[in-house]
Amino acid sequence: MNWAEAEGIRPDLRQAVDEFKRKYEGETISGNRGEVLVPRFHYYGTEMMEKAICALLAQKNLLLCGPKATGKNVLAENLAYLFGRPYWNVSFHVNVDASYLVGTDTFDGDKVVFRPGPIYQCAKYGGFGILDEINMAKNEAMAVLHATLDYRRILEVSGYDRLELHPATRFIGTMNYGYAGTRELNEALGSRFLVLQMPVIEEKQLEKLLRREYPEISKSMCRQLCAIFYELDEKAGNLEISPRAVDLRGLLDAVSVMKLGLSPLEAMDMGITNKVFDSTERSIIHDVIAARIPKSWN
Amino acid sequence: MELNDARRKRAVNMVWTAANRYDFEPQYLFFHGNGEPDLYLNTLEGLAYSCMDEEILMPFLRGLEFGRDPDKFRALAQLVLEQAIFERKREERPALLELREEYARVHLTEFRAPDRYRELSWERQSMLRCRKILGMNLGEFHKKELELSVALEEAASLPDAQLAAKTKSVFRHFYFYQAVKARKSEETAFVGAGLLLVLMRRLLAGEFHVRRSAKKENGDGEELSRWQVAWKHLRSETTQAEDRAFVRDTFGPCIYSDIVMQQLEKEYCVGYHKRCRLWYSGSGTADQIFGWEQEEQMMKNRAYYHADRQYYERCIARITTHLKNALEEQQEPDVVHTNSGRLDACAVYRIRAMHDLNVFCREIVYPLPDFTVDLVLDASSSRYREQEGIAAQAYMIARSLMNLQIPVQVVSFRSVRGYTVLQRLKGYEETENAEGIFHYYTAGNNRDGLAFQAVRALMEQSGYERQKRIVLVLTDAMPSDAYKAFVPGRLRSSRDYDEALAVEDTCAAVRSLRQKGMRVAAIFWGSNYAVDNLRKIYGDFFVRIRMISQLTDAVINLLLRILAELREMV
Repeated sequence: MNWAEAEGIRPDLRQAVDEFKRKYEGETISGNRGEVLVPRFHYYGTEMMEKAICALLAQKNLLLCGPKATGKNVLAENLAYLFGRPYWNVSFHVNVDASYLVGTDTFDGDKVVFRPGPIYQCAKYGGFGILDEINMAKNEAMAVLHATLDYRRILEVSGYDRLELHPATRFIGTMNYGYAGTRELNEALGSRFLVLQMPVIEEKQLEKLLRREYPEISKSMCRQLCAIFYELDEKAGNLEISPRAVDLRGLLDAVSVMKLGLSPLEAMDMGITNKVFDSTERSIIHDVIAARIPKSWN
Repeated sequence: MELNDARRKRAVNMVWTAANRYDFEPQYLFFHGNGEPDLYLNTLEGLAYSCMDEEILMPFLRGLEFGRDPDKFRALAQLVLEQAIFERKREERPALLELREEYARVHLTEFRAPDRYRELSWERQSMLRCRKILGMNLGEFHKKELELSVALEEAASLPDAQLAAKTKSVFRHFYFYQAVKARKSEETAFVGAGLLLVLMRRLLAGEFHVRRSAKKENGDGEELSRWQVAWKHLRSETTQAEDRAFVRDTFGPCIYSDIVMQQLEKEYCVGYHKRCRLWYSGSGTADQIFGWEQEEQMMKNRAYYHADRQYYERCIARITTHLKNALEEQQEPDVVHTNSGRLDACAVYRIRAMHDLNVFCREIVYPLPDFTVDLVLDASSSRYREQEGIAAQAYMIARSLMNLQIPVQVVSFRSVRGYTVLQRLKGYEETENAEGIFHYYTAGNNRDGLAFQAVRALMEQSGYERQKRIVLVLTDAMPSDAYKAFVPGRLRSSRDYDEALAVEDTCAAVRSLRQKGMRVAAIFWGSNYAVDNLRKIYGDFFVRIRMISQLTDAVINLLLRILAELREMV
């Protein structure tokens, strides 16, 4: 039984994904870059997964929106794996421009050559382009992708080439509205994606994730860690603390140092509390943890 | 933030976390002797909100207030509640056990020796409980005290209703306690006493002020005279002086001198408004006289805000962060390649290979737009039912902009007795205080065309000559005034100021503001049939809200749209 089946993905969707995989198998860039990577974490959330699969099968691009710790990147990597495609991860920032995305010319010995960027490679080799924090970039810089992301499915490389996208190419954007430096996507860009609003991971799924990653963790500890995560999430939602503390990666990291003998309170302070710089907020977060995890626990 | 504020915030958060709710103010907060919040007791209080029935426990606890020796019985009841909550939640929260032990240890060090207290006193019961928690010897306690302790623990193990009944029965058995049910009158007195205390505190803190009007002091019966004038006005019998006095007494004195007012009326009261008058008032300084209605409304607006203060403060923090992000983003420089500037070493080959001289980088810096924001609020009677909500939302918007040091002015307008009254609720220069916004008060009609022209007088202050002005108007897009529009050359030289004429006039006023470089946008809060008017007056620059709680988000959306436009113009 494969993972999609175990997660309860609809059989017709599983079948369609398998067909997609078979159809484009082997059509990729040679060498390591073309490898289909096994994701480090599994995404738990059948409903979201099914919606995303439908969008990609319909040859649409997908935009995953949601706050921290909703598994946007994990879902994107899982989708690439499920569809059997290599992925190119493009981290967006304020100075992203066309040459960063598409490629630029460079000097090679005695001639000027084109050095392809991640979007170009993705388009050529049928990869999945994960456009991480897409709303960090300026909308003007993204205009070069308009023709790539809509029905035309072409990539204009100014002065060199006009590339038609490989039929297996898909783009998955992720964005967290509200981070420092983020902005709203303009209508032109937003309309080129199907959008999934990602929910915060459910308690059962979080428990499952913790137990899968750290099977040695006790049931009681696991429940308290989950409770801390949701209490901090609620607190951040009510603007009592900054969202920095609602950090799933930090929680997992804390558990991994607990395994090496650090006390749970110390580990949680390292993984979560100390990520906040305001001393009052730090105390509030520490109180949440101290009200859940006994000092004597190891 | 002061240290005390930080400690209080921590304590409140302990309660909220445990209650898993943030929509209430905790009744009690607990601190250690050194001022640090007590994690155990505050958590327990929060847990009480989530696992106990307020409807059952409050009458029980309130009843204790009216019996004899309320302190003792309240303290004993709290011991029962502590035990009850602990037992109910210990499985779910393993940390409670250690926190409880720590609490007991600290508690014991703060008490004097047990023999200093009377037998069966709550202090000795409290010590007995702490010693039990820590597994210490109970030899120094009498048999009856131990029995009482067991009985209280038994009561704690019961569901809420039985817990209250059993506790009362324990009190009866050990103290011959007569349970007193808080009678309706006593409960009212109790609540009333609480309110009085709150009011007294606020009075002593200078939060409210009690003022008698100057006319009353002269024994002149000001209210009566205002009603008399109102009646005369209805019959069109008032004199200009009486109308002026009415406006002054209702909205406060004019902030401009007579000479300035003559100039302003000459400039703005033209066309349809030829026979109209203008009045500019402030938001309330000690020497200003207001009508009692306005005073009363101000109290209501304030109370409305303060009842939900925590929520509003959080919203202000959210809006501030949101706007800050947007403003910072706008200031990020763009890097472009040019033929002069800082050399980009990676591109040097292009000179020789491609004859491209654009191998230098230059940053295009976008300065923070130098702008002011004017929030212009329709304060005609049609807003009567939402006065408190509008005041609270406007206050939030103003405070958020103030946090970002953006000059913001809040003006309300309405037309009464031929006067278009513009009330400056908060000026640009007020950078710390926006309390004046709570003076928002509705009355009369809205002569938008004149108000939008006349508001310029309030904007054009020395020290705030900004290149960019953003004017956001809360409107129902239905301008109308009982005072007719002047139309020269007609046999009857006036027409009703409403419908097409008023819309056309307002449209001209908005156009004129835009020609002067102001960005005017509307927050529309009205009926479907006014949408055509809205489009005519404001073009595409409006957002619609369906309820007043959406005002803040609407203002942010409009501001961001306008700021994006301003950036493109740099």
